Amino acid sequence: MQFIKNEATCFWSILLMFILYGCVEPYEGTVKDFDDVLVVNAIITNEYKRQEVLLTRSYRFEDNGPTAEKNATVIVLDGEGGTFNFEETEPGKYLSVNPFAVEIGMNYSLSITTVNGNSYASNTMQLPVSSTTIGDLYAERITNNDGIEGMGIFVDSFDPLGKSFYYRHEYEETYIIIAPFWTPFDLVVVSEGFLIFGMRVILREREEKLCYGTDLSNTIILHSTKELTEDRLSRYNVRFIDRDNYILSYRYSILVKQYVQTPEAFSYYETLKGLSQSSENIFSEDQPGFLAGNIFSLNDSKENVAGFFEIATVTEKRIFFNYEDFFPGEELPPFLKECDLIAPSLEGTVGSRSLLNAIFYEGMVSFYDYNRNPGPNEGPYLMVRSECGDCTTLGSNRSPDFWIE
Amino acid sequence: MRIVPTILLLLFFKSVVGQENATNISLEIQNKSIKEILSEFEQKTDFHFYFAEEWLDNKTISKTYKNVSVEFILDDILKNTPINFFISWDKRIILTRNNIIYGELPKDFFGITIDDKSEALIENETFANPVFLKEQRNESNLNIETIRIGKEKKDLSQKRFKLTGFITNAKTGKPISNLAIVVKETNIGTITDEAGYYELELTSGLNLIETSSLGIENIKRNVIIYNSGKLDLKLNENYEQLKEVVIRAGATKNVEDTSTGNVRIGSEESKNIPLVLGERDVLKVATTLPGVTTAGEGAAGFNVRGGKTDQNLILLDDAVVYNPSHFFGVFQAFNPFAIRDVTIYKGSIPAEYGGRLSSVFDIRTKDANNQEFKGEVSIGPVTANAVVELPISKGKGGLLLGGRGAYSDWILKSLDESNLKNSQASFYDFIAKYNHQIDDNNEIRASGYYSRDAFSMTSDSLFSYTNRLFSLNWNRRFNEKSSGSVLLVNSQYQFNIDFDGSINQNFLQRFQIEETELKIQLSHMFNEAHKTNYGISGKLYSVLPGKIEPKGTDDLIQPLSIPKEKGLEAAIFVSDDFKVNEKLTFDLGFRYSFYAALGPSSQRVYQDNLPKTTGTVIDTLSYDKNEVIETYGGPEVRISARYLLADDFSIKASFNNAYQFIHTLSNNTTVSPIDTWKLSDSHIKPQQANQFSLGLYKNIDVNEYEFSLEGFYKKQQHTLDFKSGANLLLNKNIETEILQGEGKAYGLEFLVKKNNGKLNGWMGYTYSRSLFKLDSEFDQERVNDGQYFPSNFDKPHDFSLVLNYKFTRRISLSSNFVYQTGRPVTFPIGNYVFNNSEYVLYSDRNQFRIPNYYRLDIGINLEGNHKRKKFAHSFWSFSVYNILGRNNPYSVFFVNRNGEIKAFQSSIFAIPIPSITYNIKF
Repeated sequence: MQFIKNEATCFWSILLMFILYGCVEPYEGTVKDFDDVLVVNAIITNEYKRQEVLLTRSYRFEDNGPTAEKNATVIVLDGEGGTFNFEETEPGKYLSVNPFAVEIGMNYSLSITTVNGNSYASNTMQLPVSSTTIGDLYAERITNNDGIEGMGIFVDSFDPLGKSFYYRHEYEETYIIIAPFWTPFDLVVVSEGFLIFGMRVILREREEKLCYGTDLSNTIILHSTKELTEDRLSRYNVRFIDRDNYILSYRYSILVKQYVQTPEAFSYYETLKGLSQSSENIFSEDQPGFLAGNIFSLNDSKENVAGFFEIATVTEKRIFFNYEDFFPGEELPPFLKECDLIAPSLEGTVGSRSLLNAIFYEGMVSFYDYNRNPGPNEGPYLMVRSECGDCTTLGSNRSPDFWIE
Repeated sequence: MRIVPTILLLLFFKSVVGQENATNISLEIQNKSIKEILSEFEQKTDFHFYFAEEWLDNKTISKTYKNVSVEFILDDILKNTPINFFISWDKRIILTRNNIIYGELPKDFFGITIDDKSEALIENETFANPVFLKEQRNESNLNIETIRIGKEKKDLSQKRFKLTGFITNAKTGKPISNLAIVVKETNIGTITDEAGYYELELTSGLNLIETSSLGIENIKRNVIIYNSGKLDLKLNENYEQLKEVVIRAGATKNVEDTSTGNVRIGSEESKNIPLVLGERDVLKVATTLPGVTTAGEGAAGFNVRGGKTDQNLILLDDAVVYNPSHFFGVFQAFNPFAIRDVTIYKGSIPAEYGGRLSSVFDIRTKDANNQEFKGEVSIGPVTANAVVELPISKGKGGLLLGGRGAYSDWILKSLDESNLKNSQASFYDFIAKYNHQIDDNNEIRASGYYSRDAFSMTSDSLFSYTNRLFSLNWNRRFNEKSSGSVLLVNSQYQFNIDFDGSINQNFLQRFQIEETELKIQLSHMFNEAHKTNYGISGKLYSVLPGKIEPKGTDDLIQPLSIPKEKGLEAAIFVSDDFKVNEKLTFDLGFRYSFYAALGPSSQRVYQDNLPKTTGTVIDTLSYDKNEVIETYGGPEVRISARYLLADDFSIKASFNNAYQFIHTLSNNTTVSPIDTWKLSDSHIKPQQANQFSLGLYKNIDVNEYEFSLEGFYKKQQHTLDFKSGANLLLNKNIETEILQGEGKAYGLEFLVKKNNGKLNGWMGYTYSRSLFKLDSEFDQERVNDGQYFPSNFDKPHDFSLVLNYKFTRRISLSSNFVYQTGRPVTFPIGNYVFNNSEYVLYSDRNQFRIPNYYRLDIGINLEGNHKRKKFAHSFWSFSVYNILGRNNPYSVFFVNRNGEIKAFQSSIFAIPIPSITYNIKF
């Protein structure tokens, strides 16, 4: 009966794998068709500035990133005859020729003509409210619902008129990085021949110890107050940082942008968020499909256009804090990467000069020290991953304009 | 027997009729049997009686006759017996059973008109049709039991008489329904109804009657009809002929039935296809027939002729089953031993059913044996089943009790893998049914059913769902032509999610739907040509759309309860089986459905000509308790016609339309345990469907082979779909997520069956398409640019082959092969960047298909010996599911792994699954 028991076990594993995760394996079929669609990323706000519209194309999975939609004509119309022309400042990036801010009560629409002559237009959109404010933005040391300790960034906001309802937040965080294995010295190649090449240790020519790292939010942070009795965000958590995240190590700053959205934009973002959070849970297998925004082709109704033309009310606020403020005397978070020292051999000829050669040119290691007691097959220099010795691989060595010590 | 020649002889007596020698006598009878009366009569008068003693029973009579004629007395005392008498000129009185001795020859006995002297005499009598036997006799019928029916009357001119009666099982006393009664060498025949009742119109004289039915001995009787009468038969069961009989009973039905697209599957038939995990499953058999598919392996719910899974009315003894499966569709929800049969209506749906667009699955439980204790038990790798039948009141009432459970939990516990060890997956169901035959005309059936599934996907969340049904049915026969029934049913479905895996986010979530229905139905047979069925029904729905509450006091979950929904669905229906002639019949059905959404409720009012979003709300109306929010309804026509091109070849056509007022909210392709049901309200219109079918049906080799070819075209309106990424659970304003579109389905279904012989089985092939269209003036509400696109279950080619081979009486092999086009899916076809993040670009809805599906299953049944007196019969079933080990993808999905989109396929039974089951029946 051993046979049967094994089979039963096997079966149960399969059945439960199905229940838990499904019996999952790589799909061997191919997906040949690729749809090259125009992607419109336009958020025009009540902030007086040169407004921005980004035009890109969708790309294949194996490609690294989008290609820009160049040389298009981009115009925003205000519904009362006013037009705002845009010009391309970088490939795919179109800025309004003159700064402007959208106003309440106007019907804005977007018009695009691409270089191949196709025309696109958006539905008309209105500014949801004339202004919004972040009442308070603050950081607290908390333990989140999953029991993890870290820093929570909270927003309080209140609309006494009760008209805002749909909030979306973005943030931009900036933090100090100190390369843990930084030395004032650097290793440079001075000459390279077929059999030999010369190297020299010099003083570093630029600041590579202290840098400023910057990250943008890459998730969709949405919240609706529609069902609440008051149009109020109270202790609304926009960001949580694990205390083991190295970005908290020294000084940290976060700029939170608060957008008040139209119901249409909110529902677009909500759906986009739902579709992007692909779950392997068999019960919540969403019905995926092309997500249409509010932009359509004037030439061919079957052509899909991705993205959204949004008119939003925006405000922003920034705070700073130090690790010491919340974790006084406590151990720093571990650095981003393990920093192991290596001593690669220098032997070999051009093209096959073992590790040092290859890695050096790819900028993946940084000099740390001389290898004072080299072992067998070891080279004369101790090297470390470049993140550990050179902070410019993670951030900028220039202090941002807004930075306050 | 010996009396027969005498009768023939007597016919030639030259005699005079009784009235001429009138002798008046007086007689006082006190508690005397007819026999005693006759001997007293002989003593007091000079009459002599000739009769067979066994004709007369011992019932006693008390009566006084004063100065009346002999005829009067004899008429009176014999009036309640089938005895006739004849008084000869020499004062001999000859008693005859059933037949009459005529004093003269009938008018046209010699083919010429008798003239002169007897004319005056004949004048004041209606012309009689004497019954002659010799002309109909033939050798072979002599050793068949002869039964005489009715008392011949001189004044009856009719040639056809009605024979009625009940057929019961000699052993159990239960009525035998669907038993065919045929008069040999004629085309007269009928089938017994639910109560075992039958009615035949026979010509006077000798009729050779034959019966045939599933599992019941076939008998022949010579029935001599003298007048209308009753013939009840008690028949024995006959196991050996079971299979052959089953098929023959349904065989001519295929051709002769008026309706299109119907299938009846007996529980026994499910023995003939290989088992999945050791469980017999009638509903699995259904999916091997054309027109019925599931979305995939282990997918709950059926797609019938391009319809969605919520468009099937699944009834267990008339009560609606909301979730007809255990374990996400791996097992059917019903105890296989308790099921008698299932009838699936996918073409013409009888007018008495309504409320769902695509089909009716009418599942009937067995009637309990009311004569003796019986039972059936099976033990399989995952489940165990038992059913017992208990006679409660002998010959009248019986109770059936069934229980079933999966003992999977202990298997899980014994596994080494820790993530499985903490999982849980179990189910059980119970069924009870009581049937009581109060008298010949009244019968009551009561059924109750309860099932529960519980499973945890991760160790911290427990999902469970339950079905609860109750049905009470009273059938009454008013007379031979009319009968009626009253039905009261209640069913409830609910699911619960119990999440307990977080510090302060634990919750309990619940959904519940309950419905109660009362249905009164009458049927009346006006004449041979019209059989009418009519009635009314009313159903009250109560839905708790969703409720979530924190589990403990520390939990931060906001309690939320979506207000209850209430609705009333009522219908009036009438249908007439209209037989124009032997070849042409119509089934004309009409139904008027009415629905009212009832308060208390608050309904949003959205701005006209704008999509329904929170932003376009202009008002909120509130309704009081039972206030009508919105009403819907309309006429439904259910018409079908059949024309016999030959005895075994027919053509049928039908038209069907229906309304559906209740809808599932599901993002999934298949039925999921967390699907909720939503009633129509001011925003959600009822779904509607129209279907046309046309089919050809042909049987050859005396019904050994059955062929059918059916085409259908179906159009649906207001079918529900959802915006991409819609949030359906705990959504107060679900109308903002719903899209109502159109559906279109068409197909051709071909089925060939070989009904008996060592090798039997069937082959079905369907070509069909199922398309939907979601069009709107608003971009967000348009899918695939408002064009028709294939539905999630659009599988153009569907082939299945079921074969059984009987090596001996004890060993049989069964196999099942299935091939289907892969179902449509939506694939990601690229990436795009929006707001600094990379997103997946999806193709148009259902633009791609997963690979085609095929599977072969093999099963072997080994039965114990068939000794009659054995206490119990047992058999072993071995089966291997998916013996080819085909890895059929159930779905293909894409996951972002380290910034790279990877395609994965999930499959359910990717390897051959063997199982072994032991069954015992006593």
